[in-house]
Order: sequence, then structure tokens, then C-alpha cells
Amino acid sequence: MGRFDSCLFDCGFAIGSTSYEDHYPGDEEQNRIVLSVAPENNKEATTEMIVDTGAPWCILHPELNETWGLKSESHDPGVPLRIRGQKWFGHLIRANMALLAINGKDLLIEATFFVPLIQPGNTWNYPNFIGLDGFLNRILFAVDPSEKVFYFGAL
Amino acid sequence: MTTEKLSEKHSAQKYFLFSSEWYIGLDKKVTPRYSECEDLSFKTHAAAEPYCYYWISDSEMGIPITLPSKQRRKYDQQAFWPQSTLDSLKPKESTSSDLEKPLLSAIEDAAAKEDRETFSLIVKKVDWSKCQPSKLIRSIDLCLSLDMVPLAIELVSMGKQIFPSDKKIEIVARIISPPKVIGTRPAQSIGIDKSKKWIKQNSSKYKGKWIAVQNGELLGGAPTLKELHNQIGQHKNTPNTIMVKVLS
Repeated sequence: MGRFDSCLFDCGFAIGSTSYEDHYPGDEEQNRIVLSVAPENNKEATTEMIVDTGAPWCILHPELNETWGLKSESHDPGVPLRIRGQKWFGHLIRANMALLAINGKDLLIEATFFVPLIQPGNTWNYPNFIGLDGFLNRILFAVDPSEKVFYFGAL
Repeated sequence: MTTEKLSEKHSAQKYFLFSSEWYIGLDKKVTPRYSECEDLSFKTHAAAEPYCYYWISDSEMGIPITLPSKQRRKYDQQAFWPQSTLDSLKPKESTSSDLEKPLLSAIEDAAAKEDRETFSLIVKKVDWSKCQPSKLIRSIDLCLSLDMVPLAIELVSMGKQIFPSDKKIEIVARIISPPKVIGTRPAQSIGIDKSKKWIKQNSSKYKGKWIAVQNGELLGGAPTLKELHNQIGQHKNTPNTIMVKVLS
């Protein structure tokens, strides 16, 4: 698929590649790298997440968190996180995710997610993010913007 | 030269102020616990302001409370404080809780001001083995609230060594430890590409809704994910289906 597949697979840099979208659904204004991620258990639907090296943690929509059955532990740090200039409170959770490949192999990662706490009656209208400290800084990745291909591998 | 009384500024706490270099000199030479010093005066160059003050607590901590490092000035120790004065500062026995109070207060203060440089400096100088695990956890929480994730990970790692049997630290450590690659599996995202294309071309019609798309076909759309699940049925909730909320 990607023109660097064989090159990056053979040298051991990447184990998988996938095409990415450059806009998150509903946000046509900002260019992004949007990847497909699913729970590692292989029982739930896939969702879309934006690669964001500026975000410390992955950010997961609270409804997805509920559906995927990810639970915060009693003593987990409840922390504030600034998202687009606004401070949100939420819990950090640890969960196993699969970064889905179209070519090669999916990469399974135990990562840290920030799940915002939403007051009843309110909705969460932000994208899902793949953050740096919680996910990206333990994988190898390369981007080919000319073909919109994202290559990834284990560090 | 100007002279100020520390007690006027920090009457509630037993600290006094020096420049950073001054403190370092103190630390190396005398290392007393400065607990009875609230009535002492300190001297600084008026011309040197603004500079970085350090306050030194009875826990022997030096804590910059005002300015960034680039504004610090180097001072000659002897020019500001005679050795006889230093010698007169008698060490006092302090309990563990005595030590924690001013430290945590300073850490909280730096966090409240979002002064990351100061926060980092204090946290790194604390001897956490003399503190309760709850204080360390609080500092880790503050690290996280300041987006200082690497420092939080560093503290957690240290906490695991100092308090190996503390369950709270163990849990926090597990949650914020660096991500781990746990394996690989053959790619199985059949039809995901088609679904992505469909979403790109059609999602604008579903703003504010959750949609489910499988193999390039819309399965359903609903205001909440729960409603979407009810709409499409559990058997369609598979990795080959993309479920995403379209931003409004």
C-alpha cells in the first residue's frame, strides 16, 4: 500500500502502515492525522483518533470509555487537562488498544487515557486524541503526507 | 544595600531569604536547620533586583519563589552575611511532619501559580523518604495538573522504590507509567478504508451525532453512543465498524 512499506518493514522500523484522513469527522477546518484505533480485545468497534504530539495523554470520549468498559481505579489520579484553552477534569485510565494497520500488523499498546468527567446533561464535543506521553513516545512512527500513509512500529 | 525583615513578609513561617548562590554556599558550608530565624534580617543589593530569592526552611530546602533563572545574579557569600551570623543559627531537631508542612505548602504554592520551574526544583530537592506516601501522591497529582508528565513518572518511579508496599503509589505508577507495546497481530481492518472514505464524504450531514459505518456503508446515526448501539445491534459492533462522533 504505502510506497515505503517494504523499505520500512524490512529495516525493522515499522511493522504496519495505514492510510490516514487529514480531517476529523465534523471538523473540516483543521488539518490532522486521523488514525483508526480499537480496543485490543477485538470485540468492539473501531474509532477515530487524532495524532497529537502536544497532548500529554490520549483523550477518549466518555461515551466510548463507557461502552468499551474501561474503568477508572479507585485511587487513580483525577487530573485537570487543558483542551483548547479550557480546563477539564477527568480520570486517567490504563487500557490496551490496537493501532490498526491496513498493511502489515496491528500494534497492541498498553496506554494511558484521559477520560473527561462530564456533568449530567452536558455533552463532550471534542475529538479523540492519541497523546505523546500516554502513547506515542514508546512507538516508532513516520508519516508520508504525499500519500497520507502513517507507518508505525515498536520502539 | 537594602535590609528587610523576613518576618514581615512571612510571619507565619520560619523562613528567610537569600539569593540562590548564597543558599548554595550555605548548604555546602553549614547545612543547619534554620528554624529560629524569623526575626533575622537579610541583605541584598538593591541594584541587583529583580533577582531570585530563595527561602530556606527548617527542612534545609532552598526554594526560588519569584523570578526565572536568567534573572538570577551571582553574589559573593561573605559580602551579604557574616559567618558569625551563620554560626549563630542553631540547628533544631525537626520531626517528619515538621518538615513536610513547609515543603508541601511551597509545592502547592508553586503549582497554584503554575510556576513549573520552581515546582520542579522543589519537588526534586525533597527527600521523599522522609515524607508520607500521601504527600508524594499529592505532588504527583500536582505534576499531572501542570502537564509535567515526565516529572510525574520520575516521582512515581522513585515512590515505588521508597514505598514498595504502598498500594496507592502502585496503582498510580501503573496508570502513568510509560506506554508499553504488548504485542502485534495480523492486520484485520477489512473495509476500514472504505468506511473512512464514506465518513470523509458524508459525515458533515451528521454533525453532533454518533455514526456507525461498516465496509463503506452507514449502519446508523444517533445522538448518543448507547442509542446507536441499540439501533444497529450488538452483532454490528465489531472492529470492522467505525463508530465516531461527528463534531458539531
